[in-house]
Amino acid sequence: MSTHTGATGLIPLAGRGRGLAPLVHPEIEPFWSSIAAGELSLQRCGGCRTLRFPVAPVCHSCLSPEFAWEAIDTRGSVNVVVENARPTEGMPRIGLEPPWLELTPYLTGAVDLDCGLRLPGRIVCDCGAARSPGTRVRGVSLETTSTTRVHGFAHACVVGPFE
Amino acid sequence: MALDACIVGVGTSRAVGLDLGRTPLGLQSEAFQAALDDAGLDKGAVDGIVTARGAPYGVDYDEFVIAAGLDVRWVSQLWSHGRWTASAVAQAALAVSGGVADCVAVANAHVSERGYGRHFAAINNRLDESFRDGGGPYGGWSVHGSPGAGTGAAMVAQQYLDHYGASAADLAAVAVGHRRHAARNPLALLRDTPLTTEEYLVEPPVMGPLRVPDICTMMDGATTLLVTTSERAADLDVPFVRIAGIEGIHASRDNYVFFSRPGLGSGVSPVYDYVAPPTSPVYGMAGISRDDIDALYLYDPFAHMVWMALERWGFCGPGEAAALVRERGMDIDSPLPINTNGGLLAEGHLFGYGHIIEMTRQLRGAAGDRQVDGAAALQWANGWGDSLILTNERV
Ligand SMILES: [Zn+2]
Ligand SMILES: [Zn+2]
Repeated sequence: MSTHTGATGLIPLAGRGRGLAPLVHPEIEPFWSSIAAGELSLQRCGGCRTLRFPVAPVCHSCLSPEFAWEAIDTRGSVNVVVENARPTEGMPRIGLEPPWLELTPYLTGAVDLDCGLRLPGRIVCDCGAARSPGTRVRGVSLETTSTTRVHGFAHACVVGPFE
Repeated sequence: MALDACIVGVGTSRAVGLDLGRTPLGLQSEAFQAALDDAGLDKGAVDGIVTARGAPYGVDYDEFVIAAGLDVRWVSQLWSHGRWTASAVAQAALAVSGGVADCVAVANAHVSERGYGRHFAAINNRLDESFRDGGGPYGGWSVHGSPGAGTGAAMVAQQYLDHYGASAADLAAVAVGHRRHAARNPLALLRDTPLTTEEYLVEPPVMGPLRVPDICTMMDGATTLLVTTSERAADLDVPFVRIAGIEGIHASRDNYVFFSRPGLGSGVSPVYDYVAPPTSPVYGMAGISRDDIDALYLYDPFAHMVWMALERWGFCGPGEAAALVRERGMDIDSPLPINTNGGLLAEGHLFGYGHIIEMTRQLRGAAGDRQVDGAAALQWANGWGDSLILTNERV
């Protein structure tokens, strides 16, 4: 596990709703413990140096099983944002499930990180700017229904200037 | 091995709907009997079965074989998704072409949690693929607030709107077009629920840009198709409908998000203007070109899926599908009719098999007042690359 911390890690946020707790199992536990430590660590391939996402037991480029966890710069630009505006009704499997129903309205989407990877995550923004693709955001950690935190992204209107 | 497969029987449960009070097995039995009646066959003729929707909300192949007293020599069971429509039909076509079965039933049943599925709430094997380590097949992630299919689809629709400047009025054209078809389909769930563009636009967005009319309704219902060789079909008193071409689901890191064509940046995929190749293997196998297609059928759990298919298969260029549908329409008298049964959006979610039944009826000239004049070659085509071409013309 990298010990790197600093301006590009995850800022813990509170009071933004408790999302669904992740399923943490031994093979991917370092990913989740990095978030608890205020970082976002992904796997750097030991064979070809490709940085990968999603978390996986092999490299999608060279199939090497060798890797090291590496804390990444969590800054990036919004790729897509959608607002889950209101609880869905009568849409089993298609619509929102607990606990997300009670958290509406909220934003979620994906961010193109400066390291070249695209990561999913909730987007926290109070001013509305982050609804536009290309808006700069940085990583945060968000509360869930368990003690495990999940990464997300926040606009400067929430976390202040970050670059 | 040349493809040699015909659809000789089609059937649905006596009704499809939100809550029919019937088990999946009961519904599937109705659809199976209806397909046998349609083909003029006895159940003993069926020696193969492929199903895509297993227990508890559907029926596993073995459950059905036991219940219906079948004796089959070839089975296949796919995963519980509408995505398998073409795969299931293609498997049946390959099985009879290869001689491992003479007559294959493509059977599918489903009950929704709003319907009979509510009695199954205690069965603790809920599927949440968006909970996988790598996220769901829709590009959604349950832990990030995009559970199920809806938000994943909403993100793709939003990406399309962002990239190409399409509007709510463009989405409305798709939803309203499906509803118009449903008004002419006695089976359709929303047959008596018309929708105007104005009514669409006052609906509030629910998930991203998607409004309720953009989202299909899961319901209770079942379908069966009977597939056999052209030689056996000739012995039956049914109009000729041949499976002329098949193409599989394409999958790669650029080609995996279920509700997107390539190029929109869904999931981990790259962003670029996807331009369809001049032709595709399914056309070559069928011996026709894209211009010969008389109507298009596609999986439409969400309205934007129509755009994905049109651009994936080259009926227009990247970013042009929204305007194409709004300007030319999708009615039976438009240049390219689309989902004339009303699709999942308005006929209801029959996992795509409702579309295949409609294609068969169209090619038989038996689609009533929604008949496409001169329908001779119809294509099932999806944004993620799978396809079927059905025709009423002989080789
Ligand atoms: Zn590698
Ligand atoms: Zn903001």
